[in-house]
Amino acid sequence: MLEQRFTLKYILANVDWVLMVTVILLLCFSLVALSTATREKAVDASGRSLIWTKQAAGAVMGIAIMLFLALFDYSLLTYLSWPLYVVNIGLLTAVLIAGRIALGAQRWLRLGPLELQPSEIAKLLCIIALAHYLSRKQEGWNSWIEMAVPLGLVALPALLVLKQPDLGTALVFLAIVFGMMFISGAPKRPLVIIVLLGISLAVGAIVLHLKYGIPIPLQDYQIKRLVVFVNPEIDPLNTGYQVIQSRIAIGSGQLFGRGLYQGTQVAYFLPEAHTDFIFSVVAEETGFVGAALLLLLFLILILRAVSIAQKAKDEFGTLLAVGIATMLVFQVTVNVGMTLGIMPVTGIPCPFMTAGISSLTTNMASMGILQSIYLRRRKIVF
Amino acid sequence: MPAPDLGLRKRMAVVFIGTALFMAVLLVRVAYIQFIQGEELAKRALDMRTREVPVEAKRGTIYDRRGRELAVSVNVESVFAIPAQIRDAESTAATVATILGMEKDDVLRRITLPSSFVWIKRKIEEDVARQLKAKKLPGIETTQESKRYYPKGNLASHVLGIAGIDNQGLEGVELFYDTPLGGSKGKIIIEFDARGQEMPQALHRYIAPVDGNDAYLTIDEVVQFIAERELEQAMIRHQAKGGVIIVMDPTTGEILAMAVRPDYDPNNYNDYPVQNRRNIAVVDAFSPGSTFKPITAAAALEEGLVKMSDRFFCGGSIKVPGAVISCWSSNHGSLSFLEVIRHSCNVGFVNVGLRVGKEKFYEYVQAFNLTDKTGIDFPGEATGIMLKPDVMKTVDLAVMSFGQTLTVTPLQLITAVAAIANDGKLMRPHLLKEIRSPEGVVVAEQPPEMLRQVISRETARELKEAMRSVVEEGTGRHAYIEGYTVAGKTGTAQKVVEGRIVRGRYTAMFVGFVPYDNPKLIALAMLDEPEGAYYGGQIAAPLWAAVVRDVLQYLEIPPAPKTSTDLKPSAADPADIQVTVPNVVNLTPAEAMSVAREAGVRVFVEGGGPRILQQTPAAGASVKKDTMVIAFTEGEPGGKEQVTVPDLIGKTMRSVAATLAQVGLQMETEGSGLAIEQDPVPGTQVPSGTIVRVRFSP
Repeated sequence: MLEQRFTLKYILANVDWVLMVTVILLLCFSLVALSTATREKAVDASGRSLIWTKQAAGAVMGIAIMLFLALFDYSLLTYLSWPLYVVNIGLLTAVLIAGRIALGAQRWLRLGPLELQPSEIAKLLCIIALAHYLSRKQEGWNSWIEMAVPLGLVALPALLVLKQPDLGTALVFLAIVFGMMFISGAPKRPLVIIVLLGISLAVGAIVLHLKYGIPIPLQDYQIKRLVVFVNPEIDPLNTGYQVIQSRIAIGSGQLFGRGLYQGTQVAYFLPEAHTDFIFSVVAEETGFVGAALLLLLFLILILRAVSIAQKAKDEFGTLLAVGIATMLVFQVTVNVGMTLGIMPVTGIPCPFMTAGISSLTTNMASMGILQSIYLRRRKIVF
Repeated sequence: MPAPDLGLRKRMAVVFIGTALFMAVLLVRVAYIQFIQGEELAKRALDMRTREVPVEAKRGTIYDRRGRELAVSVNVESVFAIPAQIRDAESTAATVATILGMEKDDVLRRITLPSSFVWIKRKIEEDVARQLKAKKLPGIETTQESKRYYPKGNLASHVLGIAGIDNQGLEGVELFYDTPLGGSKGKIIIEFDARGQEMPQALHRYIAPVDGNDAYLTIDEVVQFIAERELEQAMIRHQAKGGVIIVMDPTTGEILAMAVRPDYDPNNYNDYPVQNRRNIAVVDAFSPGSTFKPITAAAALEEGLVKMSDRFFCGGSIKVPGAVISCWSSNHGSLSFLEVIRHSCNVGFVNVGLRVGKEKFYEYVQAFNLTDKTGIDFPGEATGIMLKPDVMKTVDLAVMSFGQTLTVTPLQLITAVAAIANDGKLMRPHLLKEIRSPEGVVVAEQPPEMLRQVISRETARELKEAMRSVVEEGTGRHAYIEGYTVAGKTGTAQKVVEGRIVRGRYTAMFVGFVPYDNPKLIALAMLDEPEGAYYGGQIAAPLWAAVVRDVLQYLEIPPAPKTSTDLKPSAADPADIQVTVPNVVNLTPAEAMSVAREAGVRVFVEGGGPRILQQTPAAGASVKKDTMVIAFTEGEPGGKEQVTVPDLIGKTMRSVAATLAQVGLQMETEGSGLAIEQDPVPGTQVPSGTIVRVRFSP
């Protein structure tokens, strides 16, 4: 598995240090933000919150996974992509049958002491399968009909996730497939038409539903969450509540924030601040400075992923990196946009920041794959 | 290794720019929320997480004219819940219900209300609050409130009125002077999170309440006591439906006493029928009957339409257009106008009234303020029924001239007669002397206010002379007080219900002033619907005299140097009866008078202090009946009197407050529970108003 030239010296000299440092900084950022967001939650004997301790353990585990996958030759994933895809579908099916129900959705699968959220892992497994399929597409794109296969590849897991129900994650799958098809050279016009048509159909259906009661396959609460960001005051006690509280939190942060552990809004008024609304904690307690720094770290991270995609030695690597980049861009934009009241409330976690082992390890695994691609990049020979 | 094609490079650039663009949009949005909307959102954040717990202001004390407490506020605890903080509603409700003696379901309903703050029980006893606090139930808290306490019970209850649970005046002076007495509420601002839990390092801001100012009334507690005592006895003796005694200073309009029956205890006002709380002296109108005649006489004399020496003939009745009016006596015969007044001859007054005429009659009635409210500082004042001249028929004028068919409130009547006593100057009656801040600084005063000169001094003098003869030689004989020259007018009115005269139901009245030529006091006694004897001269005049006799003595108004001797009441000679002098030391002057009366002696109180410190002759001495016992209270009248500090150890805060209020001391408390220490110690002589520091411990 390890090629001969992969000495420690080589690795230290060729690893993407910018990416590495950015990821470590994000983990630190996350642990600090979570320690303040969970300070009112249940604590263990050492006085730390249980959520925080779990997340810290997850971070250590995530670093191990990242380092392992950095050394692992990503090309070998092509052999594993289909078995992994089958495992993926299996897990997503299992969660619907035997999963734990919490917060109104069936998302978690208990595996011994671990609680697994298969939909998080599914994102990465889908990226691998798509990258494999698209990279094998030697003859290029001849017709927009050909988009049916990759779309079908994600449609199956996406529908299973939607069934949980988890609309947000299902949308992440769509973002990934469109991003990857775009990079793999799919015809632009049909691509743009499909995306725009999809968005306008969705918006139109919701508007029609709200105005004329046309039935759509979504729960009432999901519709509310989708539209509440436009005017949180329509439902200030339930769905609109978090949107309003989040804006109040961010607003009261101002330039330098209220100080770490000094924020009252997020810690007390956003019961789920440690998950979807973690960005609000950062913005309240560290102000514009902290929020801007966090967004800058995400920007660096994503741009490194894009850059690695360009430097990959083969199309599989390029597509893998692009899939990961797309996933991150979409999640950051929708999650942070939600806390800022410009995106619908869809329950998409903030990469690296949101508490959750499945999400964190998936992201850390993605980082490992990126490093693996970078370590085996195409050398420019003069 | 395949070279990257140009298309991929371009597409990568799109992803690159797109990513940067998304991040930029997010950053701009953060900046917008934080810098443009920031201030307002930060303020909303603070509003969201603060709750206000009210802290009541201590309501000002109501004192009588000499600084004796009539209404005080004592500190009590009130229990409230913050429903969001309740852990186990069922068991909390059960515990709270047991301690507070409430229904469990009621408590449960309150503590589960979707509200941030809800009262459970207000104004509970100290020890109950302590029990509850000891349980340390989350979400159940107490706050200090003040409760109104009327240390003298029923005394002057109609004047004082009542204050409600929220420290707001509901009736009487408590209502009229609610603003100065009430002060302004304070609050404790507590920071809470969304689940209603008190935050650990949260903000606790205490905004102290502004305590209410104190009101000093014109009421004199002792005069009030005398009036109430006599009225109570008369009510029993005559089985009357209601009764009123008003004592007033005719020169200033200050009301010294206003006793009303039926009455109630403002401390437990809910135990009494609502109508007991009506101050019928001010809010109900009665037919004044013959007590109105001085007004008719004043109009006729002032206008020069009649002289005291003018003669009238009464044959027992008089015919006017539309009716034959009969006199109460059929053998008046020929009388001078003076005798018409003295014997309250209706026929004579009909003649005089007709001479005055509708317009002039109404003009005077108006001038005496009988068509209008007197303007007393009391809520809900009423006026009577008075026909306007354009609808007045001759028969109406004839009947009204001796006080029938029209109605006035007792207060209107005494105010009008007081104008005659006061040489024609009509004064606005009032109950408040001054308002003082809690520190004792006078912030508002109510000086005497003259409304107008209604009749000339000469007319007033003539009338006063005539009214004196009513007592000395006429219908008002029973109002005679030895040593004083009393002037007054009796009245017996047939009741008017819904504009019609009701036969067999009467109101007996006497209004009079003393000394007649330079009046210091004017008083009105009224008994409504008495059983048996019902003439004003028979039952109201003796009541009047009983009150005024003691008040004169209490106020140390000296007897006239020359007393009229031609008509003494034919009392049995008491000279030979021996009685034992009772102990009056440590009693209030009013109590002493009552004790002395029972023992058969009279008491003369020297000094204006609230308590008697010494007496002479000493208790136990055998003296002649009606001997004057001199009782000394130390100190200047109205100034600081010496009182003895009572023993407070072992008492609850409430009972300490009541005890101290009774002797005229103030308290400063520390801790809660039962009194364990006090300064000064019991038995110390201190000036009244001194602050006694009391330490309480659970």
